[in-house]
Amino acid sequence: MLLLALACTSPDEEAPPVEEASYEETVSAGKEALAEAGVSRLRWGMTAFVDPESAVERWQPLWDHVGDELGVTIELVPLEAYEGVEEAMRRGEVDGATFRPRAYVHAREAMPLQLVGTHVVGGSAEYSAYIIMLEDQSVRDVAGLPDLGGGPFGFVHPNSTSGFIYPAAMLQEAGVHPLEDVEARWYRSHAGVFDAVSRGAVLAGAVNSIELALSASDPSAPSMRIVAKSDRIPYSAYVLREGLPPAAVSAMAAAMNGVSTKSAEGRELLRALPGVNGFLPVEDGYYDPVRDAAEVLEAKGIDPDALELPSGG
Amino acid sequence: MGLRSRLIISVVGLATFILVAWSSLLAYNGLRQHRGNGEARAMDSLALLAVPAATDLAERRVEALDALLGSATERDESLLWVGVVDADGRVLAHSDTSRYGEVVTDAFTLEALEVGVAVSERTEVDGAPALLAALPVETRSDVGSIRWGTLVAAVSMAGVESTISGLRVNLAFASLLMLLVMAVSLWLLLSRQVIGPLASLNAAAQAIKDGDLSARVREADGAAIAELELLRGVFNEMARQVEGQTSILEGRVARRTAELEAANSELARINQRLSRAVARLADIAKTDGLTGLLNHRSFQEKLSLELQRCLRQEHPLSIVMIDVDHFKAYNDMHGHPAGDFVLKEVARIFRDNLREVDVVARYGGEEFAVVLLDTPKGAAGLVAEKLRLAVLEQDFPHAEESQPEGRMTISIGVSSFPDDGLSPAELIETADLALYEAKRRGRNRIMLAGELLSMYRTRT
Repeated sequence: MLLLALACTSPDEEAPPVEEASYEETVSAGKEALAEAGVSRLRWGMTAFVDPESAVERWQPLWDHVGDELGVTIELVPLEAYEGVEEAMRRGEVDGATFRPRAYVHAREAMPLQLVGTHVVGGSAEYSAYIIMLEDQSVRDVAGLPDLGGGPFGFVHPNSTSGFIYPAAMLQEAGVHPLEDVEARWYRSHAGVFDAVSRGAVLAGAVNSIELALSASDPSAPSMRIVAKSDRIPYSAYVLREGLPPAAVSAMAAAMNGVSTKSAEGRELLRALPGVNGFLPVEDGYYDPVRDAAEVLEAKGIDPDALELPSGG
Repeated sequence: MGLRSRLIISVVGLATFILVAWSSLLAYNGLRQHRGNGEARAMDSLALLAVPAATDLAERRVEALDALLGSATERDESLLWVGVVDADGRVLAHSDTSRYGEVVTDAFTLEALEVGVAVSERTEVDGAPALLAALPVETRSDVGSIRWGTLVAAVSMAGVESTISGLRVNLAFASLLMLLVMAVSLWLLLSRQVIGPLASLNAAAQAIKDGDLSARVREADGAAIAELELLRGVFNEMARQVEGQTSILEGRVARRTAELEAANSELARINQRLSRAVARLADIAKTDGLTGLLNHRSFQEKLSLELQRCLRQEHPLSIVMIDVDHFKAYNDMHGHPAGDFVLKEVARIFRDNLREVDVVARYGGEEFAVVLLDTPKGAAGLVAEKLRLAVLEQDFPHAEESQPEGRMTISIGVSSFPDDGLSPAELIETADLALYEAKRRGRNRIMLAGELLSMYRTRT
């Protein structure tokens, strides 16, 4: 299988020329580069909202495979959602991590990072944010986003790309300030928002397409009405710290890209990761839509990092 | 060609060119674009189908893919069949369930698997136009992709081609309509600018040919092309000049005719006068100027004619030669006027006492000759006697003074045809001899040629 070598994502470094190289050549070059750098172990940070240990267990086979390909041991380090990943990278506690899109964009502004790729879910490397409300919600006549002003609105987290950044930008562009014109409530997970909307705790809420699909598949879930749908949002970014050889980045991208549900081996590696079908190499520009959405909010003085969640929200 | 005509023809020509070019381009692009749009729509539909197909393939939900493809063919009638094959061409799912597991080997699918991008090919399915299409079912990023399979489908283009056929008909109709409009426009333009003016020119030329030199080409409402307008001006000027020259010539001819008629009239008058003069001259040549009787020459001619007629008809004819007795003495004594008077008076007496048919002539001096037609000698003697008595009984001035018998008398000799001669000369000669004998015997008497030389001796 032919792979395109992944370019270096550091703006300070000149991107290496993209050239066709075989999988073996790419991986071998990365392996050698790591060996020369004396790297035999990579610590990989990953977020886990619930049950971190279970998450590590489910992801470990994939990283073991990648580590074998690169000739290193990859150790998974469970981290607190969002803020914890960037902080761990800054402290050097991890050599690489899985960043949520908004977290990646935020961290990328603070430190040099090398982007490896993203994962594919449901056959796609992108997803959407949805603003939903109960289908039979008759409290108010909601024709569109502008009619949501004044009501309680469910968000996931200030740093959640699909749970706040995108839906807040959508509200803002519709003339509804996401913090002032609605009563923002934070539920820390997409499932929590879906549940809040289902219970009628909020007039509407922001969830991503995966949660919507999963929740909607529950026969007991009430019918939801999609008030708005965002542009496509890139999935999480798989990132290595600065200082690791670029050849190692390309090799990791190739190794990950070689894992997909197309093959029996890939399906076995991903068996414990429902929804994940594989991985794709991407470049930093892939996350520009996230930056654009964030700018919409920043233009109105909304800084997700400055938002403090009420305890138990 | 005037600026206006140039402008009109240029505009019409340009409009025709633009319309023809535009319609041709429209027809070409319209059909091409419509077919292209139809194919693009088909490809877009398949691309939409490829998105959930990617999900199903990534999730290995083959049954869901079956349902997806099945519902797609049910939902879209133009989708004849659709399937998904893996990198080896093995059918993973298909709207035709009998093709599960089949390894596709057709050239189109193999090429599609090779190139890895969306491709299409026009073909026919059951004789109807169709589009074979293939596009990768994949997940892509800016620097990589995961190709889950390849979606291959046959889409009916019958509807598109039907629309294209309809469009062709409409375009043909529009073209025909446009040509009709252009033809009518050009016809109106030509009628107004060329045919109308030419008809006027022809009518004027025809009228002039028929003699109406006052005919002119009327102005064509100012719409004729410049050349025809120029021709109209030249033609009218030519007609005006022809009319003027003809008028001048006709005037000259009329004057010449009048002059000729006057000359002819004068000539006729002269001829008439000349004829009269000639007649008079002829009369003068034939008659004696003093007495008005035939002269000697005419007498001879008349005698010959009459004698020939008498010879043919065997009719009698007599000649009477008469001489005025002692006329010379009378003339000498009383002068020529008196003598002339006697001669004229004697002649009158002769005319009065002879028939119209008889010929009386002054034979010379105081001698007269008479031809009596159809008159034998005996009757001629009686006529001669009648004449002698008439003269004798007429009172002539001075007759008593100069005439021996106191009266004017005449002596007469008579000869007759055929007794006394058969020719004029013989008859005249014998009459002269008889006259001479009458003179010799004492005058105032008649002598007949032959046995009766002295028949009559009348009273004095």
